[in-house]
Amino acid sequence: MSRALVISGGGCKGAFAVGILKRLFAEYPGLNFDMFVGTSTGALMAPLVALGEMGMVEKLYTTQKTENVVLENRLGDRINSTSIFDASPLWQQIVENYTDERYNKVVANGKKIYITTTCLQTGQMVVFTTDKTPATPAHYQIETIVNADQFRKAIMASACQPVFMQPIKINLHVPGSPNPNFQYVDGGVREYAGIQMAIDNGATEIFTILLSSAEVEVEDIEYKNLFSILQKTIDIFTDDVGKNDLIIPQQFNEALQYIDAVKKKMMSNGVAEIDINNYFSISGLQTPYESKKPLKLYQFQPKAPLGGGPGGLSFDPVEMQQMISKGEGIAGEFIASINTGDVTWA
Amino acid sequence: MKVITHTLLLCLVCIQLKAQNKRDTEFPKEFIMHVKLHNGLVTNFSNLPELYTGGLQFVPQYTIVPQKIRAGVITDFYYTNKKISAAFGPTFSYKIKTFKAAPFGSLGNINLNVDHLWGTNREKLIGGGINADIANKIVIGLSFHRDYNLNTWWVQNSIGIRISSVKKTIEIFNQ
Repeated sequence: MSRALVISGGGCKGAFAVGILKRLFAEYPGLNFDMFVGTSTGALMAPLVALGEMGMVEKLYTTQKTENVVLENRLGDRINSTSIFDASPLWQQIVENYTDERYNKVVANGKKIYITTTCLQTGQMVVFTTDKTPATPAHYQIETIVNADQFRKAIMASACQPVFMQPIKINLHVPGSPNPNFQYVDGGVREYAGIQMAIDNGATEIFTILLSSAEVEVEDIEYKNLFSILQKTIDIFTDDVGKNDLIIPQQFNEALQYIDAVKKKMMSNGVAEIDINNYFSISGLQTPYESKKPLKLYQFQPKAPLGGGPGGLSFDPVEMQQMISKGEGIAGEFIASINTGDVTWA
Repeated sequence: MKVITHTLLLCLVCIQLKAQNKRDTEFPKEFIMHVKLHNGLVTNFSNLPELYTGGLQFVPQYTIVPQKIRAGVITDFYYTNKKISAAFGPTFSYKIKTFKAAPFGSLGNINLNVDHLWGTNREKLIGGGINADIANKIVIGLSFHRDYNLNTWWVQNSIGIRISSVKKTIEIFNQ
């Protein structure tokens, strides 16, 4: 059994994930994860959650204001820049909080952290990980982090929403890197929640925290200017990527459940297990289903939109405190509804 | 005199404290320089014919109260009454409105300016105007000055561009 925690992107809405985890850890002190997959704000949280520093995570997600993350500018000054906002304050926070000491602790403790990014030059999703022997997937690239600077820059890149925040040259100071000047941005461009990474790396029990709401909010307003339309477009785009991210793992799991049910039926009809496995193993044909068991997917998601501005970049401590409460509420509902037999982490 | 100086300093401190709005991106602490083309008329509102005036101004300024006040000097070369002349003097700009492009930043501002110019032909102009600063690139303005030495009024419009470079953001994370 390998348990993964997957946290999606969503800027300040990460406070909702803080609420979920706070409640879960309070209810199940023995709950721990073997791997942590983070996209954007999830990438900021993953290392600290892996180190058990929930107090610090909560402090970060209840005290920060927008100006502690990004700086607004005169738009005319940014025409020849790589972003609308300047993400320097976020970098300052990353340098202060994701220290060499913490990075060394993550590595020493064998915590497997997967940080999703998107490379602008290749258009590919690139996952940076502390896992020394990660899976080698076909549809995205995976790189093992070699030092603390690369670790910090991978976190920064994962959190940098393109156009809003600057792209990051993660491998600029990585010795021997073939493309040190490649620029990386938020992994959410390609994958909003990295559930697939957890599956590819052997997770069988996955806790996924999504920060966009499950329900569609119908708004009775007219969008009258460029900026509000841009803001709404980003929200729709994020929601769409998020839904697609969920559909694929769910279908994958349904296929695994179906294969498992067929195998059980064959066994009950007297076919030997070894023969069944032979039937499902085709030489020369690699399938993602081979030797995989059905997954346990636990999904946490807000019922209604959490707010937080475009891309979750409006950091308001009061609003974030409310997001934490909402997260705690959703986790409470999960605790009340789960079968005790399914609780493998108590 | 001492009382006036202290009162002015107190006012400046009060404005400075009130102006500490980190989210307002207009009038940041910086050096800025505009070149303006201006033209208009010189009149004393009598039956005498009005004189055309037009010229080129160089206006370097520095923000002394972030988000509120810039101070600088005007160097003006202008043509009027069949002569090319020059004028020089201090100028202050006070921002009255920021055009927000919430939540992304701002698109420009409206500011008022007051200035005093001494001309090479004994002109002593005092007055000011209103300016629209668009995207920190182009400035369009309207100004009124009283020449209290030669007893005339100067009414002008102007269009200018920023010629000082914009401070580049240093991306320490990409260095």
